[in-house]
Amino acid sequence: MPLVKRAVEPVFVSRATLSSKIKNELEGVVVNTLAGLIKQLSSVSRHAENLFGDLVNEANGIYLRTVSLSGRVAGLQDKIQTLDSVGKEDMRIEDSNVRVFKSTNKEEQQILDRGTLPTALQEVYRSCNAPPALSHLSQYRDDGKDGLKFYTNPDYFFELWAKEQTKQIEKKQKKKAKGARKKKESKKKKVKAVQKKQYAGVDKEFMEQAHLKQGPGDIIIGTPPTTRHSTEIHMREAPPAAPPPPQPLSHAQMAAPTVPPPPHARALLI
Amino acid sequence: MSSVQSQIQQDWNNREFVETIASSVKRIAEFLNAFDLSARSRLALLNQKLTNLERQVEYIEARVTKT
Repeated sequence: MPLVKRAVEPVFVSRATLSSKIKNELEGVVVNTLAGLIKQLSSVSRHAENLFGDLVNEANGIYLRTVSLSGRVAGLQDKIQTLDSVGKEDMRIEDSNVRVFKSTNKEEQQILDRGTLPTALQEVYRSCNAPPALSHLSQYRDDGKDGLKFYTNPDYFFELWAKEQTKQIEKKQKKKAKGARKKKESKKKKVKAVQKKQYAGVDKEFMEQAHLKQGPGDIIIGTPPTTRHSTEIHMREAPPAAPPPPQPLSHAQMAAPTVPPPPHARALLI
Repeated sequence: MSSVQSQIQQDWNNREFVETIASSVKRIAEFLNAFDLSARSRLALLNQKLTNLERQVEYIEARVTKT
């Protein structure tokens, strides 16, 4: 329920009981009404005084900040004049002595706190009825909680926010620990075995196929295994997919080749 | 009858007087509310300008001063 910040009282000006001794009732009613209006005026003047007091406090705060700012600007002016009088100085950002600038962003916290409540509303809260004294029943509780907190708890949302923040912090810490563990495990990988693979100029598969299809008059592309020999050491991994082997050319195919030969065989043909 | 009439006439005059005073009190209250609203908005604008100036002065101080 919204509370009225400044309420002018009395609201009903003419509602007053007349004494039986009054002869002229109409005049009596008018007099009562005028008295109520004077009370309303006094209430208005009290609220006006409170209102202007709040405005004066705010304006005073701004005035103090303005004074301090003008002092800082005057100091800056003097510094700049001394810099100009000394001579041209190279002000480079790349200098190691210059520290990185970071502005101070003041984040306002707990704006809607009881301390920031206006004085008029504080008076209204004081005039309200207090909550029932349920704290007296907390001694009969088994869980040890305060009985009044089940009725009204001003710190409920703050405690909820604090719990969520702690949960997030714990999650982050767990993630960091997991990441650190994974890094350690990946760094400690040991080489189990080393396999030596022998290359004979041409791939093993090609050599096998060429030997199988080889006839007495066939021309074999590629050097024989005894002339060129190379070894390569590599880890035990899955072998890469081998390209399709080139077909060995026969007498008839040599005259009119239909499929272009592989690049490493062209030099031999020439 | 004439006394009653005069009383009624007097009552009407009194009520008119009371009505002018009540409307004046309402006008005072309206003026105070409007004044409060405008003053607070101007103070908020000043506050914002001051904040921006303070940030600029802070930056200039950092640029001018040597460590």
